Amino acid sequence: MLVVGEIRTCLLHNTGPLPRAVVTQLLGLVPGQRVLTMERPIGRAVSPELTTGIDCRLATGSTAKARGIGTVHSRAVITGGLVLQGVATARLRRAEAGNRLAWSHYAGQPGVVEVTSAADAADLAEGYLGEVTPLATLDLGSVSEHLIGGVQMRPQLDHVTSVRSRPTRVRWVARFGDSATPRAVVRLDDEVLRTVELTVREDQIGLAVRFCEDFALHDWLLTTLGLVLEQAGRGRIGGRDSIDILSAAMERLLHLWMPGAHVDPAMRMLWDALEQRPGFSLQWNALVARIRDQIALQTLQALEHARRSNAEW
Amino acid sequence: MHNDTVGAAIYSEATEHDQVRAVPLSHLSIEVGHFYMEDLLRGDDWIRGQFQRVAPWVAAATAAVDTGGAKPRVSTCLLMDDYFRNDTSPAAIMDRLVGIAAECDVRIDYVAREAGCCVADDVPLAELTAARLLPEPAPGTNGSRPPAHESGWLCNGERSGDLGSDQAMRSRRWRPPQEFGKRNHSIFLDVEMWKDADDKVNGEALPLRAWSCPFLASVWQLLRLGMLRHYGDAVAQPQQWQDDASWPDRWSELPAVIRLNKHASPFAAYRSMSILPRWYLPIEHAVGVILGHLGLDDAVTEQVVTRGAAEGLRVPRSVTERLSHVFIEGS
Repeated sequence: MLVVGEIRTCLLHNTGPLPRAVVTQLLGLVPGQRVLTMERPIGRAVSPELTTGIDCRLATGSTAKARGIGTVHSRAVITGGLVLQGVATARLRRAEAGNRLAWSHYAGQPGVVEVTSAADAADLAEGYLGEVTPLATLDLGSVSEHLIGGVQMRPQLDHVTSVRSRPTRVRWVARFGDSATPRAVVRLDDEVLRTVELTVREDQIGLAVRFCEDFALHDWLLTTLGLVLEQAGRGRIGGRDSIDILSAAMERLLHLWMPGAHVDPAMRMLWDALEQRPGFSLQWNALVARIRDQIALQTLQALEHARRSNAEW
Repeated sequence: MHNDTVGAAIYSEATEHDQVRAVPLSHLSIEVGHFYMEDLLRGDDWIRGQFQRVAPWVAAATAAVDTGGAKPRVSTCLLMDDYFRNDTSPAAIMDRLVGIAAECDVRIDYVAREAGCCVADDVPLAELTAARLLPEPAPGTNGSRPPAHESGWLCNGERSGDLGSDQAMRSRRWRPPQEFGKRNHSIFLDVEMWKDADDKVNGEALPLRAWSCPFLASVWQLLRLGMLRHYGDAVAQPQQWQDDASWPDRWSELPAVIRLNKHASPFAAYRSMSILPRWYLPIEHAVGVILGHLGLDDAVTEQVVTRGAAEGLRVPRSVTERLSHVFIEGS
């Protein structure tokens, strides 16, 4: 019927980027299962898929009742040895039986939630996106969060962060269409929440998840850089000069900007559209230019200050 | 000469995709016995009685196998319990056992050790399996909390509870257990999968995990169904036993799975059948519950289902639907 997901993106609790070998250890969450890694154009590692059982109400846009029984998938992704994502996904499929079956039925199709409801895909999609903080309905955000929490507590990390940032959430749905051309409606809901509504061909659903991960990563980078500039503008924070804050962000985040790098060509047109309007790279480049200017300006000021102090002597 | 086309490049990284090795598969794996050391000490007549009762069912299972029209590939196997007790010697037992089976027209293609279901070739199979446990959610579970479960125990529903005493009634109130996937009425089962005991070695406490018989039997079924991998590689692969080789004095000196018949069909199969004395019924019920609560590697499931389809066979995705049993008389 449709696929729903939530991706939470945050900074790994570690001073600097971790090398590939450590990232692989960090994401080895299931014994005997491989961590998948890519080196080019940027390091990216993906944990084995975890599976969690659920049996709960599903939100609908209408008054139709819906119950979902099955399992959701979640995996942790680390990009550039530094940015951590918790990616929880559920494929909703209409149930054939009206009652709950033996658990082996659900365990045999990991990542699938069977839906008992009169509601259609559009109704379920509207309901899912509408329940931003679910109390009793499917809560994929918490599934992502638990995974992130687990990774952040691992002993391979030094639990120190050098860039102040805020985790962001991307809640998304993908409905199935016949066209080979994917469509996306992207919305910034508030400071941390973004919503993506996709229409893709059913066989492209895996590619769609990758697109959402890539979008979430870059949206987080943009949000974080904006935040860094804001902090630096307030002057000294926690004993750190604004120049330290800016340089730390430059050093750790700038090279991560590669929209569409890990996205299949079939989905890249979605990025092309986002680059046109609102222009993600346009904003990124502008922020980077501002940071460079500020660093340059402050360096000059510092030098000038030093020169004058010397002259007075 | 100029080439008009724009240069094409295909780039990939070996670590980018998960590769899952395939294992050879028969149509059916028949377990012709599961022997405890105590059983073997009961004498030849007892062993003979077991094999005599098993023989007609092996023939029936072989005749009933669904092959999609191909020549049937059926292998037989025997499980020796050297995990709970290993103070006997293969040298004293194996030739005698194989001889009695042959007298009764029961062919034994493979012999496996139960301790091999715990660790085989340094791969901790029981641990790998335990890591795939997928506890069943109570109604109302929406993902907001990680699943709670009692370490070492697995059930197919909700445990009974003591609701405290009712002052007015002067009696204790009790909430009955519930099977989540029940049909009208519950058959609740709570299985002990392992027990962690602190073992003192040289005054130092070492955690020691004792796996239960149903848990190891679940690993055994997974091996027979070709469902376990270690970083994508096959595990506990059968090793050929030379006819003229002499059996060692210790079970641990044997591989986890031995092939006695060099013409045997593959050890693992699309489907498994176990022919066991009826007192194995509760163990196999527990095995069914354990197997039904595992989130197995989807790539492996996909591989087996796809290969079956290529042979014209419909292989269920759920492992519990690939098992069958015959319970025979026996004590």
